[in-house]
Amino acid sequence: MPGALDGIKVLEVTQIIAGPMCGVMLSDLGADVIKIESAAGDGMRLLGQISPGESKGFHVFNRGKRGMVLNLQDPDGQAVVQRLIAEMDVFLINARPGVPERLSIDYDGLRAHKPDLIYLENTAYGPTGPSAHRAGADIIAQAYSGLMAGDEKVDEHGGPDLITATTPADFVAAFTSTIAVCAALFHRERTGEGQKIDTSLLAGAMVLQNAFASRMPVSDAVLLDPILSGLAAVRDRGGSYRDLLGARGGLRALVGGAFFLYYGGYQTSDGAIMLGCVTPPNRQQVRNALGLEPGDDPTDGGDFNPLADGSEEIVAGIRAKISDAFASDTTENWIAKLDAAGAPASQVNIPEEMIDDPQVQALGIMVDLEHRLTGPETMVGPPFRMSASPLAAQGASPPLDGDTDEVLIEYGYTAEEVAALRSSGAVGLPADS
Amino acid sequence: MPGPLDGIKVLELTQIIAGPYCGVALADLGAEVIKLESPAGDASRKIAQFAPGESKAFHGLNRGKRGLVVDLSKPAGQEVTHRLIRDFDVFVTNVRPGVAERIGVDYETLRQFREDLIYFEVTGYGDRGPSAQRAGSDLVVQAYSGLLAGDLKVGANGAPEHITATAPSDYVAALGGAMGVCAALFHRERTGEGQRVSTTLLGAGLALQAPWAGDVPVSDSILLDPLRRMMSDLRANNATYAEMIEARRSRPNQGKAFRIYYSGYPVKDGAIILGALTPQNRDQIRAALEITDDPTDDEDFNAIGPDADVIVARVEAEIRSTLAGGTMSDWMARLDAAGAPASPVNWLEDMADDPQVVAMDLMPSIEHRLTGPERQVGALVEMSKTETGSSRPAPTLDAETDDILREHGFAAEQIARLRASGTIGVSAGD
Repeated sequence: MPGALDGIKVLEVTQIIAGPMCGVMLSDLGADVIKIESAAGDGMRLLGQISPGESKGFHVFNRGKRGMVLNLQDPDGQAVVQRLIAEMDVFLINARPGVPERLSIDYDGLRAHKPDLIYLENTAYGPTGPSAHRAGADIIAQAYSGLMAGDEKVDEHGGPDLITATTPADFVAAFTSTIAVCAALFHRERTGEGQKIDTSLLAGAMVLQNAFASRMPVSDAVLLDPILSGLAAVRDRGGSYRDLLGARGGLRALVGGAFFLYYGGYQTSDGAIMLGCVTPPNRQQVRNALGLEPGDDPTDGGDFNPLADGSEEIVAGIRAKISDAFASDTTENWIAKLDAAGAPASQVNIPEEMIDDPQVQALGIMVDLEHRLTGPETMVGPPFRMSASPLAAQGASPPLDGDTDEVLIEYGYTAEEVAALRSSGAVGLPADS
Repeated sequence: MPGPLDGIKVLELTQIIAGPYCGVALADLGAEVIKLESPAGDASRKIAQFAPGESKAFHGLNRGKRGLVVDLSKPAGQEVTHRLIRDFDVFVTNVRPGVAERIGVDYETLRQFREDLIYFEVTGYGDRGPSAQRAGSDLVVQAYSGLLAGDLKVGANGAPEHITATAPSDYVAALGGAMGVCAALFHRERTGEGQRVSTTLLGAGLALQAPWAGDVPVSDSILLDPLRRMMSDLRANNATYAEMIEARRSRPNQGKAFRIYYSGYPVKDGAIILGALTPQNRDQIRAALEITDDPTDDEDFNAIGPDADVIVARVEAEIRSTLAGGTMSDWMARLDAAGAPASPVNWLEDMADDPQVVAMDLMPSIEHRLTGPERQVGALVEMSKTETGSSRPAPTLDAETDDILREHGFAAEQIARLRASGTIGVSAGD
């Protein structure tokens, strides 16, 4: 069964994660994806190299693609893109703002050769506004958007204590880009019309903080405005980020401490357990498993006011009861009891060990691939399943310059033309590298 | 200008984040989204309520939709859904495994009424495997997938010290669903065929950690396998999570040199985050900071060599002392002028007024019919030929049930009867 995007051709000039991961997902959906790199290669190739120009990160974010090297500073290299684009459906780029224009691969330049092209551009801050031309990266979008401070990852100076284990803004931008490309393909199928799509890391980071970023005066008067005036007061007296974090009070201040009784972790007799209750039935399941009587927790009733005087003491009392209960048995036993009760709970796993997890294996989340240079590898596969047009990992990542000649020949270049472009340096790696 | 999904009708039976945000993403693309709730309503209505059944979280995760209340525990309620689904293109759900079958909204049942239906389902762990029937939610699956430990958010015994400010697995699953639905619509347009699209919070959590979750033996033999051995030794000795985390932190790691320029440093009046990804970015930072003696980008620098840690520490110390000598605004101006990626650490609470957020219109104004004006994070993408974003607020519970049923061919008497029997709507006593 072919994938949903079977027959769709994608050309990408991308680097690092946000652009490349979009290409991976389009290829998972069945599109034919060709990655263009400069002779220096995507910067990701150099990050944790395992052999020259090959890194685990590059392999993960470029599986399923073919690769070619073009010198886009050279008008002859630009002419190759303009010739190839006539036969492509989608173009992806996540270069700096202004770079597409400089390299003659901007939307207006390329659509002249392919009027119904779907052109996706991802930037850090978006195409307009005071920061449009500033440099960005995931960690910058995290800092700028409030995600880093919201996660309490900063020390008293505002510097990060922790760098997140993933790149949330990059991933959300990549997923969003893929959604938009699919929606644009649907639109083109219905109307014949192509278009330009803009996404930004900033928008991605904002979406992740959706509910907390918003302003709702009726709610904010009670919950948010006191926090904002507290922040302003700390700032006025020159307080540190730690003081600001304290004044902000974290999610607990915004949601109320009672919610976190059942949405957080506890120590067990041999480790810890994480509870993830989001509904009243979930919380009742936990109480059942713990042997607490229904009347033992007044915080879960509809009339409990988490902001009223004395509510913190009530919450602390329940927390002590729950803590005592969990401390009396092992993680494994508690997981069994909570599973039996139907409550959401988990042990805390370590990322490097997930590949051997039986559930991960049962779902077939990891895919086995064979890289041309570095051999077998197993990595996270398509992020979802489709019954009629299944997703499939299309193969490993391309070595730098691995498919340049093959792609050019496939798109109508003669062997002589390819040789001429290569000797002039418009395509491929320089002979001495 | 209509959106790319103009005319597409979506019915969702969703709660909390993963299902609801998928609906928001589809509504932002122009689909007409109707949210089906039980008389009790989506539980997120009650997380930090500020009016009965209205919360900031619910508003943010359900804008752009109309609302319908049906009691699916009653056969008559299931019949209402089966009648409605004929007019819909897409069904979205994130109920617990097994629940959809029990209340008659599983794929096999619904496709009998709408053959080319696109059905999207997100669960915690998937439909097979030892954890298929277990309950899941974002935090639990963050713990399960390694994301929580990877983010160093756990204390010495593994209990969390920080709860993340967002729900990463939920959002990624929601976005994966919207992607799958759009691809399935394209497939249906080309072939006439509907299908089931499914994803899991577990898969989403792993996708977010793709570089660390995978096995690339050629790389792992040098970088990862020693860590795995160290961790299994530690575990055999009943090590704490703190010791495990320290082992992960101190392993030979080519990322250490990278982290010098992908990190944050104090300045006179706060801190600046540097986000260099490429040698060019690092050159820009070095130019702005006037750092001339940094061999870590030289071709012959061995990032896991014996003296690498010493060199990295020396360069890091130089950057630290240089940045500490200037103010935030001075350094930001110099780094921006050099074209280097850098930012102050902002507070989310200030972002609604941030000039870039305002310029990009990332937080449009919406009017909620009960609680008035609000500003919310809007559409993720701009598209040149098809509108994105929706100005419709989150539905109040049961406000549009009758309208929606009437639009889909129910007679006034039928609606009254269904309401009287408690099959639809919130009963008078609630």
